Amino acid sequence: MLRYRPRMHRLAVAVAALGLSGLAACGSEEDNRPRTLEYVTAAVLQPSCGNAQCHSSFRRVDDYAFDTVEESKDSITTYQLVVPTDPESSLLYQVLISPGGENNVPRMPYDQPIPDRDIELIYHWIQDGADGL
Amino acid sequence: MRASLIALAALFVIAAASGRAAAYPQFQLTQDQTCTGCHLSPAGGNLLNENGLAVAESMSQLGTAPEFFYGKVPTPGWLTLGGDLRGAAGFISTPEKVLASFPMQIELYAAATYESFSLHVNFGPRPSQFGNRAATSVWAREHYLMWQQEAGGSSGVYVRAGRFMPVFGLRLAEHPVYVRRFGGTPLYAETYGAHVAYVDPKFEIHATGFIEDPLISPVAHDNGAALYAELRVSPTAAVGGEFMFTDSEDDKKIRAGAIGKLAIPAANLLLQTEIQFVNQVIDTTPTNPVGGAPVQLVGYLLGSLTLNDFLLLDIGVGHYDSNVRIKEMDRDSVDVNLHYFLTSHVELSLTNRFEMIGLGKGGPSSGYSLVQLHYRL
Repeated sequence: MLRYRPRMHRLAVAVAALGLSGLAACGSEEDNRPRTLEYVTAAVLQPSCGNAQCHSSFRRVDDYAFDTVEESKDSITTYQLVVPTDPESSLLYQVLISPGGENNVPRMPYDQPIPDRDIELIYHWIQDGADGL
Repeated sequence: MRASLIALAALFVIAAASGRAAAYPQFQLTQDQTCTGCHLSPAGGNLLNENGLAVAESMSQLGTAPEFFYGKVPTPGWLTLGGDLRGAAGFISTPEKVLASFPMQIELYAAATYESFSLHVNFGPRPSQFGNRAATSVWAREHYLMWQQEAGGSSGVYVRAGRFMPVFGLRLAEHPVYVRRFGGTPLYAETYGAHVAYVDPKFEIHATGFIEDPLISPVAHDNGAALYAELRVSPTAAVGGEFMFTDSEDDKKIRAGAIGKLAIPAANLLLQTEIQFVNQVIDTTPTNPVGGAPVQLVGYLLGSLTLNDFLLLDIGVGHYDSNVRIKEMDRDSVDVNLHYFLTSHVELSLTNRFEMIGLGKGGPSSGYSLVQLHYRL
């Protein structure tokens, strides 16, 4: 029968921490992901912004939905959230880098920041002309 | 302007942090071998059976009659009623800093039973849809017809058809954990489907087929199938496997994973873990000829320490890498949740999370600390 030993517990925690740091070190510096509306929606906007309580078709906060390519395209074009080739003037990009606070657009997503690499992908997608819109 | 932004921020963040916690997988193995040991549903959650009510009474400081409205509202034997009310308040930093208080859940449950058949319905307010508020203020999040082999029992074959969450993974109540949010069972992903299960103290297996909800604008836009199996290798240990395939208009996802559970009675500790590999294939289109196929990794390790008869401490470590081929796309979280079961109906909990992207190199860190009050009807 398995008996509990504090050393086993400490070892399990150490292995878990080592595993996490090892996983974090995976991956390449190069980012050759497609700079298209379809990819940006399915890989970034849907999981990060299209949550149940936020910009999903279910909720449509501020009438934006980003949980399908069709909804993303509709929201972005209807409300002019993207200015092709000009990310700095695009609200979709501005909200991702905003410091928040008074006199600034609110920082998005509200519930959980997204990786800088995903923000860079959106920047380059817009800079390249926002393919797919 | 500032006030409205803060209010808006609070609304969204709390909405994202809130949800429908209903079951306590942390009790499995330590209290009972299966979810059906305490719940009417073969997937766990919602209404408790007689044993579940007894556990609710014994796992609380002051006890009190655990029945619906303390047994003051008599119901016929064929009808089971219940419900959950939840609210929370606290501090959120994501990275905007917000103090907030908010309702999480107001929901009533009913199950009507006739021999081996039962009809289960949840009813309550839902977050309304912009531009369609009048038609989307209430809903029946789950409703299904169930047949079970052992009428009134907790094992054997179960067959369900209707609206419910596909059975997959650890089924933790805390929906912000990565294995739920990014792991195929996010908040409000209940949809129409059919579920066949065989539940036994030694093992259980669940197969669910589901479709995109055709009646409302859904959270999940997939058709698919999920398979989940768990083998209890000893009274204190279980291992399992899981597989899910989903197909939407935009992509296909294959999820394959494993779970493990280990109770250590001498330490009043239950360890649970789940790891999933996700292969997402984004459809090719004329404007996206390459498609794209990010491979993702989702995992969670949870230790639940029963401090005494009414305090439960959960410490969880989560990992989600949204694209393993690219550096600093991973997120790691540490959750510390303390549950205080005051009576058989009242629970207070303190939930805390700290989260990093790329171990601090890939984006801003975030977190929250919330006090939750839960009243079970």
